[in-house]
Amino acid sequence: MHDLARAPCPRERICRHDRVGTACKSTPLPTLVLALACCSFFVTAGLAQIAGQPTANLRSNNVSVDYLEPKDPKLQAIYERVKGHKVLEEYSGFLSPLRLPVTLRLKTLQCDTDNAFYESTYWAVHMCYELFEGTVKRAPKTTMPDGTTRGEFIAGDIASTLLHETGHALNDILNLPVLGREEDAADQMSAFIMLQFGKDVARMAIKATYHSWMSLSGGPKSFWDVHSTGIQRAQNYLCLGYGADPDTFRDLAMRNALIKDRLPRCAHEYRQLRSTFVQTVLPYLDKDLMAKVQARRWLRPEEYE
Amino acid sequence: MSWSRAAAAFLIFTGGLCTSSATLAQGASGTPPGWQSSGLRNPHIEIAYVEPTSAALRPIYDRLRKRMVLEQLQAFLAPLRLPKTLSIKADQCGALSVPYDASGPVRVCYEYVEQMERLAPQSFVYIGSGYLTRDDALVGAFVQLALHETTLATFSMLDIPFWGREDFAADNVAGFIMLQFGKDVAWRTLVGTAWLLAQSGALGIGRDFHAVRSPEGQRFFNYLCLAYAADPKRFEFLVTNSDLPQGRAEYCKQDYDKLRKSFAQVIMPHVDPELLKRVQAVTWLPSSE
Repeated sequence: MHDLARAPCPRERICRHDRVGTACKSTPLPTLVLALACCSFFVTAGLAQIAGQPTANLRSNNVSVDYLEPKDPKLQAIYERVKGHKVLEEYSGFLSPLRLPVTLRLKTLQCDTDNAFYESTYWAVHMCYELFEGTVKRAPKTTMPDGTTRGEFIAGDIASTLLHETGHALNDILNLPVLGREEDAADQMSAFIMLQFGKDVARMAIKATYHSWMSLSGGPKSFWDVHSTGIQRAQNYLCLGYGADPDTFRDLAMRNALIKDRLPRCAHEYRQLRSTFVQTVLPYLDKDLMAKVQARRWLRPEEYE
Repeated sequence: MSWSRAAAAFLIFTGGLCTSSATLAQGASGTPPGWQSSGLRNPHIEIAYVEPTSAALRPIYDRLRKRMVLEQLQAFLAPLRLPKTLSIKADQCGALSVPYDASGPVRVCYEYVEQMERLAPQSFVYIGSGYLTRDDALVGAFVQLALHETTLATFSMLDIPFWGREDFAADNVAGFIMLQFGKDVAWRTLVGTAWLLAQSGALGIGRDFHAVRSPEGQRFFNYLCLAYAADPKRFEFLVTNSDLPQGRAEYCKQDYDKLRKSFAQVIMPHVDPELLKRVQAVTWLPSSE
C-alpha cells in the first residue's frame, strides 16, 4: 500500500489527488464527445499498445503540453512510452472544445511520489510518472469476477485521475461554485464526464475507477483529510453511475452491500450534478468543436485487453 | 480527545463567555428579544409543530413550541426569496433525520433533539479559549440542524448549481451563515455543533461513511476548519491543541475563501439585501442569565 504522500506544492490553492495505496439512461450532453476523446486518451495513457487516432486538428489553443524528462532512470521507460503515445496531445484534443481564459498546462514529470496534482499558480495539471507506474502495479493480473480487465483498470484509474485534476483546474480557472468539498467536486467532474460516453464506456470507466478506489481503501480512515476516504470515493462514483443509468449499473450496485441504503438517492445526486454542469461548465464549451470531436471514434476497448 | 465529554482533560483559558444558563431542555424563561419586534417573517415559509404520538417526545415538542424556534427560523430566513412555499415542520420522524425530498416538507425531528439533549454537557465544558454550556450545545446543534435541512430544501427549490456533495454543501452553507452574525453567535453555534458531532462520533452512533450523509467525524473536522478559517485568532487553539490537524488546517483558508465566493455567486442572488440588513441588525441567540 502506498503512503499518503503529498507532492510539494506552493501555498496557493493547490489541490492534490492523494492516493492511498491510489461512470446514460439520461440523454448524453454534447460533452459526450469530450468524454469519448478523454477515454481514448486514458487508455493510451494506460500504456496500451495502440495509439489513439490523430488529433492534430483538434489541438486546443488553450492547452500546452510538456513531458519533463525524469532524473530517475527507472522512470525513463514510462516517460518514453507516455511521450511516444502522445498522451497529452490527445488529451489536449479532447479538451479542445473548452474555452478557457488562460492556458492550461498539462505536464508529466517525476514527482518522487505516486500522485497527481493541480497547481493553481501556473494553471498546471501534473501527472507523475510514479502514478502511471503505481497504477500498473496495482492493476489485477487477471480479469476480475465482474469482468473488469487489467487494461480497463489501468485506463479507468488514469482517466479518473486526469479528469479529477482537470476538475480542480476548471473549478479554479472558471470560478465554479463549490459549496461542498473541493476534492469531492473534482471527483464529481471526473465521474460526470465519464458518464457522457454511452453505456459501454461509462460502465468500463466507472467500474474501473470504483475498483481502483476500493483497492486503495484499506488502513485507518483519516476523517480530517480534505479527501473523502477511498471507500467513499468508490461509492460516490458508483452512486453517480447508478443515478445516471440504473440499468447499466444495477448489477454492480446490487453486489455492493455498502451502498444499498444510498441507492434511492443516487438519481437525485446525478440530476443535481447534471444541472450544475449545464449551468456552470456548458457555457464554456464550443459546440462546433464538440461536433468535430463527436465525429471520431475514440474508444477501442478491445485493443487494450 | 478534548471534545469528548468522557475525557477529563480540557484546556482552560481565561476570558470565558457569558453564556445562557437557560437550556433548550429546561425551556427559556422568555424568548430572545429583538426578532419579534423586528417584524421579520418570510411569507413563503410555513411552519408547524406536529404533535408527537410518542409520549416520550412530548416534552421536547412542548419546549420547542414554547421557545418558538420555528418562528425564529421563519424570521431569520425573511431575506430568502423563494418561488413557492417551503414547509418546515418539527415532527416525530421515527429516525434521527429524514432526507429532504422535494415533494415534502423540511422536517426537524424530535428524535434528533432528544439525542442532542442526551449528548449535551450537563452544565458546561471548557473548550479552548472559552467554555460551552449545555444551552450553547443545544442551541448550536439545533441551529445547525435547522439551517442544514433548510439549505437542502433551498438547493432543490432554487436549483442552485454547486459542486461538491450536497450534504457537505449544506453543512458548509449552514456553517458559513453561523459565522456571519458576530463572534458570540459563531462560538455558540459552531462550537455547539462540533461538540454534538464529536459526541456522536465518539460514541459510535454516527453514520457510516457510505451513507448519503457523511460520518460525524468528517463533519466535525469540516466545522472546525470553517471556524478556524473565519477567525484564526480565536480558534487558533484548535490547531495548537491538535484538534484540527495541521495537514487540514493549512487548507482551511482557501476552502473558506472559495465557499465565501461561491455563496456570493449562487446564494446571494436569491437574498433580498434590504431584508438581510434588517436580519443582521437583530440580536440572534443572545446570552441571558
